[in-house]
Amino acid sequence: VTELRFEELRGEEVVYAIHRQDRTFLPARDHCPLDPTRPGGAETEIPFPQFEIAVFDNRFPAFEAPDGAAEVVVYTEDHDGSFSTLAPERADALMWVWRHRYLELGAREDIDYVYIFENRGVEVGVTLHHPHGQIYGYPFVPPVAHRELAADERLGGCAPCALLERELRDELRVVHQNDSVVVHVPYAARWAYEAHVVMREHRTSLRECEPHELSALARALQALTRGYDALFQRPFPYVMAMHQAPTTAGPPQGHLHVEFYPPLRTAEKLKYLAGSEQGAGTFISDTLPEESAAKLREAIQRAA
Amino acid sequence: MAGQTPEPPPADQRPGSAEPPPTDRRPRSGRQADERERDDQPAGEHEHIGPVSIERHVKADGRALILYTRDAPPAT
Repeated sequence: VTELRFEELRGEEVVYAIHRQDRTFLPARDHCPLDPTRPGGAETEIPFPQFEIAVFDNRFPAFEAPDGAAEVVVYTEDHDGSFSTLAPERADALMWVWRHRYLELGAREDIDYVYIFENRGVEVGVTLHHPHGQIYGYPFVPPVAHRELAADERLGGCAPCALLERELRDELRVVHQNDSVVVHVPYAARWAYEAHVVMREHRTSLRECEPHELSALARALQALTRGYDALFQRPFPYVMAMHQAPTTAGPPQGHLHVEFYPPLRTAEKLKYLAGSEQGAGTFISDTLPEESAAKLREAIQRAA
Repeated sequence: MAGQTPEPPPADQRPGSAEPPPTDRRPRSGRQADERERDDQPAGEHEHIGPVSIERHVKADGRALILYTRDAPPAT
């Protein structure tokens, strides 16, 4: 059972899901719950000997019906793969899966915001190494989505559209692009190698994307994540956050984009959220976005 | 959901379930449901979205499991 409490001083919800304390934590390689169930072997979360992409209700949910949802998205049966190493056609299919989950969860009365994300690496708290992401169906619109919609009002139109126009004009922070998608380190990046993957056209969600745009999104996401792995020649930890329109009633708002928050600031050093970040809400960065963008651009080209 | 009442809910009640919705939670018009019907046509047990087929299951403990499989490319 999950309980929400409203933190009045910060004006935000806090979720208590105390059953998650006992969730599976870094199991041995041969006890991975996200592997297919091998003949004669113990049953995993996916009781089939093979699969391509699997989605299931989280056994340790932060949200569950009738007050939201928590799903696990397993990208592949290959335990040792990653999003970046998926075959292009599998990455394409994953875009359709995410789109389907956005539509289906967004249609539910108890879900106001569908949040697709991936935590990669123990540095960001991963408890299972098998390539997978998650989806939370929030029973409220969370603060970051609210802030992005407030930015639209502040800038008098779609903020991501305006910011993308500036990035394309400046060029300094653009690290990769294709016909439908632009990848850039944001002007005011908080993390050393933060990157935003933005649809060129104004699309509020995956639902509005044409099939070729979904493919282009998959290509751009894989180019970026391969570049990340090439940057320091090691699996690169990150939080991937897909921002789409809330699924409340009314015209859809927002601009589909995917934000990456990598905690590494060098090959060995992590950025910690400490006094200023936690207590004052102000990031202190010791890298310039333009310099990070140059290194990331070169890494993406090297990994292509 | 939460945030409207500082008092804890009764012990036998799911937290937040009887609280009034927050003011920013707008009523629904069924827009998303309508879109789903248009985009994602169920066809009996063989649902499909784009190039991906959908196979629904219920796990032994009652949780939902969906398997997605990309269509094989047409033979040339």
